[in-house]
Amino acid sequence: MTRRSFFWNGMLLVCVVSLAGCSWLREADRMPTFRYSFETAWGKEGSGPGDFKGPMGLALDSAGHVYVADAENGRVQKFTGDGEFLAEWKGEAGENTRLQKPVDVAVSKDGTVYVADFDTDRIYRFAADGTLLKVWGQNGEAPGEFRSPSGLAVDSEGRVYVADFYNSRIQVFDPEGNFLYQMGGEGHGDGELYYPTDLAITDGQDAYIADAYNHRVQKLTLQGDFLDKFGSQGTELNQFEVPSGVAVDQWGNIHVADSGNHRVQLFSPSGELLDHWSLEDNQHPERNSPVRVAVQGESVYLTDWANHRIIKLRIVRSAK
Amino acid sequence: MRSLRKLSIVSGILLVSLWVFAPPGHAQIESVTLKVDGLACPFCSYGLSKELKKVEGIKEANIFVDAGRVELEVEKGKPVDIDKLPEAVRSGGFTAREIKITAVGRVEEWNGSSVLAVMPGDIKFLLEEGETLLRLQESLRAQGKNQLVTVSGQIKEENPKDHHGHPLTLQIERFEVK
Repeated sequence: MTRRSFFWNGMLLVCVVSLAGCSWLREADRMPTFRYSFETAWGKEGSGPGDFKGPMGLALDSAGHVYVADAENGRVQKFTGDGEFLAEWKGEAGENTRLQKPVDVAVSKDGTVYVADFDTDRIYRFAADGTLLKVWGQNGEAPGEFRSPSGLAVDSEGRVYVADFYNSRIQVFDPEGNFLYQMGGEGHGDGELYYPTDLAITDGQDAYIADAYNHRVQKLTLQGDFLDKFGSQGTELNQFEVPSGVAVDQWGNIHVADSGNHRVQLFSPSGELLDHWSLEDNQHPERNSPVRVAVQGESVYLTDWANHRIIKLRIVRSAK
Repeated sequence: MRSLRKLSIVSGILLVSLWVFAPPGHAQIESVTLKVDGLACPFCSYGLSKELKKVEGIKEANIFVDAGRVELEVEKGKPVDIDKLPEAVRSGGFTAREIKITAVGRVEEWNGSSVLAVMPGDIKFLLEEGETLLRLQESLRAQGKNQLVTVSGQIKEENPKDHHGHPLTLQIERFEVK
């Protein structure tokens, strides 16, 4: 090989490597990164306005108000997105109409608020102004009955999905509380559930289910057909210890409240881990927390059951 | 005069009722404490509390997650279905490591063994034989056999299939003769 041909071969190699590098960088630019950033927290143990005793489920309405199921105080509290107290709802006086242990809340497109009560085995439906409109359910295993309803979601058509904890199933109702169908059933196989605690519905009309005691998240169609699953029991990243809350954001990413590991994990729609955030200043490491997660825009809210407070994070999205 | 007679009849009925349903000295179960593992999950601890409150005579179940302890509030003057407690704990998905009670009652003989008879509900606890029971019996001999006695101790859970309505065994930890 002459000196000249050696030079030109070298130049060609440099060009090929540079082009490949540029192409890789452009690809990376198109793949944004997501990470959690702490923003604020509010609440302390108590029963006054803005206090909590075992805050469990939470949900947001279209105006960004935050509704929190304040379980051991038997009420739902409504806040601004930054934690300013607005109202509390307890239902109405009476054995069948008073909230006892609300553990989750969901808001429909039209502002109707649904509350799951773990102790009374009922679902409460409130108007946006807090007027109690309807109560349904009772203890049992038949369709329309519950053994501790633990999680709620509402789809774009207003259908109400209830995670029925001890019956290991999801029941689906119309907005009036008429039973439509159920999915899941106790088991460890694909599409089966073992003490589900929460679910989230995507824009594409699929459901992510916090299959808490199978220590995984399952993706099902809204008819209950199995699509995907991720997670297994453990303390490593990508693993869960009682994942009890799930939410889907505007990018289709999945936020999982990994309560037994005291963190929230963020996954891409294909199940790739994007980030995680662990509970800070945890005064009660013996208790599972955070138990729930809700997302709106770039705001992420967690219920810190152990420390009686709400934590607000922000999703920071940037190009690599 | 007639109204005075009516009053005395009503008073008599009331007194008899009080004697039947709350005998002198208020013999009853005063407190129940359970030690349970795995209360960290709120759904499970709420589920346990819900099951325990279904047991007759239990008013409230206060769960202390960090200590792994459940303290049951008993409805005063009502029988406590103590036999159902282990079953309720199992229905909640747990196993009780320890069930401790404090009860006021009278020590009686039952099928050749000593039992603590507690009203209301005529609940009997088989008192485990041993040095503490001997000391209790000695105190009763000194102070009078029908004295009310407060006993605190641990219930020894038997296989429910073998239980068949026999009294639960109570391992005495402390006692006080009134």
